Amino acid sequence: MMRQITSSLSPGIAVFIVSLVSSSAPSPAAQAQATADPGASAEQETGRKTRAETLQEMREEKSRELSPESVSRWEARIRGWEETQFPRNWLVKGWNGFRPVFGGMPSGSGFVLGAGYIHGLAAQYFQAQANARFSTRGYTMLDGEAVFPPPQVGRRVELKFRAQYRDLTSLQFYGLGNDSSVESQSFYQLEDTLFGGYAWLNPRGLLSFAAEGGFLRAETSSGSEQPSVGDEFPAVEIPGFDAPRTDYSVVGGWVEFDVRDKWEDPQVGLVARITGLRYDDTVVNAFDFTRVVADVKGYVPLGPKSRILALRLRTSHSTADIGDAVPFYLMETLGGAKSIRGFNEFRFQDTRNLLVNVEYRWEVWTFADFAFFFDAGKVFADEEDFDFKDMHTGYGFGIRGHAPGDVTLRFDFAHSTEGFKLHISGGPSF
Amino acid sequence: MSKKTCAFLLATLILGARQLPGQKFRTDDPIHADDDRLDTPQEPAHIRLSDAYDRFGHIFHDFGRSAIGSEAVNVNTLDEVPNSTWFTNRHSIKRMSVEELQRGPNRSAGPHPNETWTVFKGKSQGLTPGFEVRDGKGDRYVIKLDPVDIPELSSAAEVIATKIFYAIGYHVPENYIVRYHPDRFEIEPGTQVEDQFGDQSPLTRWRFRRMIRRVPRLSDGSMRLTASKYIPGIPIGPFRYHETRSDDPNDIFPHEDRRELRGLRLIAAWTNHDDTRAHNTQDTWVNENGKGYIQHYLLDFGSTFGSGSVDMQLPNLSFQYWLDLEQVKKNMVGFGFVVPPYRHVKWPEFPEYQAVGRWEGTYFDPEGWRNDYPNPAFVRMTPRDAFWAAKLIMSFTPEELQAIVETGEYSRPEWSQYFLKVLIERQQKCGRFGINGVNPLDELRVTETGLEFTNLSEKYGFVDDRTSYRVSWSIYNNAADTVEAIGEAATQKETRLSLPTGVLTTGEENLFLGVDIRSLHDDHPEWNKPVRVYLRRRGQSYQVVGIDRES
Repeated sequence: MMRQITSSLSPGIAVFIVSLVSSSAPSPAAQAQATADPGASAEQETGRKTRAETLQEMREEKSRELSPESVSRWEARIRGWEETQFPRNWLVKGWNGFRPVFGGMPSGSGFVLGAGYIHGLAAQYFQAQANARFSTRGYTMLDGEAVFPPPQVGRRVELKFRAQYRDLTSLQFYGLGNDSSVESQSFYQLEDTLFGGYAWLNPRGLLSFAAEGGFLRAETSSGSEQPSVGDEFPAVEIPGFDAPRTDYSVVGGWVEFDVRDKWEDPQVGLVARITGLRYDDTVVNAFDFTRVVADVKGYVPLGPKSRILALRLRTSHSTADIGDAVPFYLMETLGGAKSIRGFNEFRFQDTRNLLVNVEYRWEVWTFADFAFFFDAGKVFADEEDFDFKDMHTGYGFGIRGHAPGDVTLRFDFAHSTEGFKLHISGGPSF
Repeated sequence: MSKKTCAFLLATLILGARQLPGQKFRTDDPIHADDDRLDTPQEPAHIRLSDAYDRFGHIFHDFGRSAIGSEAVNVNTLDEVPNSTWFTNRHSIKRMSVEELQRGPNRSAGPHPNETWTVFKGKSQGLTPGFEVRDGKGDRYVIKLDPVDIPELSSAAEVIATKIFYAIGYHVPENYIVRYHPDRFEIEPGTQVEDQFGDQSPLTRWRFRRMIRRVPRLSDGSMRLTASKYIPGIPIGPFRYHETRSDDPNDIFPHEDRRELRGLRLIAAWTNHDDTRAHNTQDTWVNENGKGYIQHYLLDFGSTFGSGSVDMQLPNLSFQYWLDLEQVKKNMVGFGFVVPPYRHVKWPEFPEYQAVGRWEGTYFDPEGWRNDYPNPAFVRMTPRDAFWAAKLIMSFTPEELQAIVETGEYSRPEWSQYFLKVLIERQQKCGRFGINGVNPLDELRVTETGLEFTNLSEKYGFVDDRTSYRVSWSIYNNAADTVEAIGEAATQKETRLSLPTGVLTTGEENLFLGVDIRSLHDDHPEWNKPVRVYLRRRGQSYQVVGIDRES
């Protein structure tokens, strides 16, 4: 081995190395042998060199063996990706604004992929985008929106205009009421078009106000999957099913009180929002109703902020005008990745609902946390049932990854009386 | 066997050769300068490192070749770092005046605020823009701005850190705090600006004004900014904290085994320079009098003290790695009851002390401090490396540190006072950690009355003065590497030893006086490991020529 090491070096340096790696305190016999050894003179010669001379010699030795400095093939490749900002540029900016889009459809749509165009990513005043999305369940969505100013700029007022068309071909429906059976699963198709917008004053401030309004056109029919809603339920029991295409004017607004420590992955504080919306059926005059939603989320650190208790209480009440009804496709639902996770998406549905979520979250990494959660909720039609009785419950364990820009990837493993569910979704649970 | 390995073997023991029969001391030991400026006539390759590769590579793999616990290889026989293109002993060897400390590496007054600066390069990534200018004299500067909502944060940190690292001995750029009126900027025709996606577009005057419109203005309309002068030579990319450059004949010591890079860990802990990684270094090829060589710099001190460069320092960084696998494992199974250390920290009041950032000394632990991600040199820091660094850290008096902090030009005196208070707290902690980690005897000198030394731990008040010393003399044969005891060991309180007389005579150039000194202190049994001092006869007197210090 040492012969190999020293083969390319000058005799003096080689002797020097041999000396370095040999035993530190030679025996007298070894010393005697060294004296008789012809190499000993070389050793002595090396020993007489100054430290500076030896260092100089080593450098001269290396100068005869220089090779261009480089980085590994892998490092060069990754560096190339960094320079092109792959995949960020592909996903966010795309090619001249044309880019792939993921998600953006209602929960339970399956994997959603599409293409879009965005303008104004680097702009200070205005951002616009248009997208076409398709899901593995066969859903289609076309949407466009314009935001003043764009999200990356903090302003006192935010204006947003949105237009969207959706063809959701196989939405699930289990019947109305808190006692619906999972065995009654049926499907329907919802095709709707929305033009709307809002003006939000002091967004992300302590107290903010918004006014919103728009036009909604909706139509339902039998879904692409069987059984259809009409097969499972009498049409007269399901308001809005098989009704002609209906147009709504929608006006409303919200008030929000926000004392969270931060908007992305908050660890302490509270945000409460009350939303009021008025739906006026402008075609058949059978589905005029008013909706009021209260949503309160609190974040309580249990000692240090590395473990927090996150709580949510949400209730929604839709009240139809006398003689009218709330169409089933505009009723809010419970079940799925953002409500009671032990149940299927859309599992419970009625004009009113009450939802409680409790999560114990703990920090695993700056960009990841684990959680145990407990969910409970009910739907009901009569306001006298607005209490905590007969709640459906579920519990589970979640893993969440966070990236800058409020991007969250969430895996929730949940259990309820209807078995185990795995939800893989984007965005926070609440 | 690769050439790198050959070089490694050569380098491993050369400067601090301890075990070489007949070779322990050369006639020129101890060397105080390592002339690593052997001519490199050809311009070396310009390398560019990948941020992600470097980050994740070091998190999941140790690129260093030497064993953890092995000692640095580029020290001289006094266990000190000779001057080189990597490091120049400054304040600790020849005390710098207050003026010199405040001046630091700066060789001029910087770009003059009354001259026109010409912008020739720009970037508008994020909310904090950056650009490069040429001043009236033609000197080029990188212009850095404070976070728009935290004036003074990164500019003060950058300049103060520059002065400290320079005084310690590292090569750093000239950094100036300048107040400049935005109307004075000119745009060089053809200048491009790069947006957050890497796209280039022409930098017009209108666009430049938009870029800087959020930068806070002072009362006279000017902006406070940091001007970092281009360093001399041709930039050829960063140096890694491991291995050597294959095209640099002077680079014979593996970087992870360089004392100044290992000891940098403790200095970085003191100054909270968590961004100590290859990307914040720069090698330049200097051509001097027709002779080329590579000079090594530390760059970018914006992420030091309480500053995180574009914001306040993140609370978790410096208490754990960016991805600290050990901490992650603990957190996963801890169900939230294993609390990461940084969560206990009480930071200064914000926003009152935002300009100072997340800067504190109470919870700071030099041993537990972490930089952004594992650094091969840092993970190899031994107690001897830490001792070396601690001596440098402790070489600053409070008055000197105050003078350096003044160069940060905080607009409110309470910010400077708080900054200084924490800096001194952390200095004391680093000093205690590094100096008490080994038998802390140093400043060995031969005087007319004998051999004198200083117990640095007592000198800096880290222990009481109850230390006594067990001393045993010997004769060291440099030719045979043998030691022959002289007399009996003795115990004493004094830090002055009388030299044995009549033991060595002039002309016995291979014989050295040796003395083992063990420090006996009830609180520090580890100090019982001896410091062995070697004295070479020089005429009628002796010279301290070597120190063996056990880790």
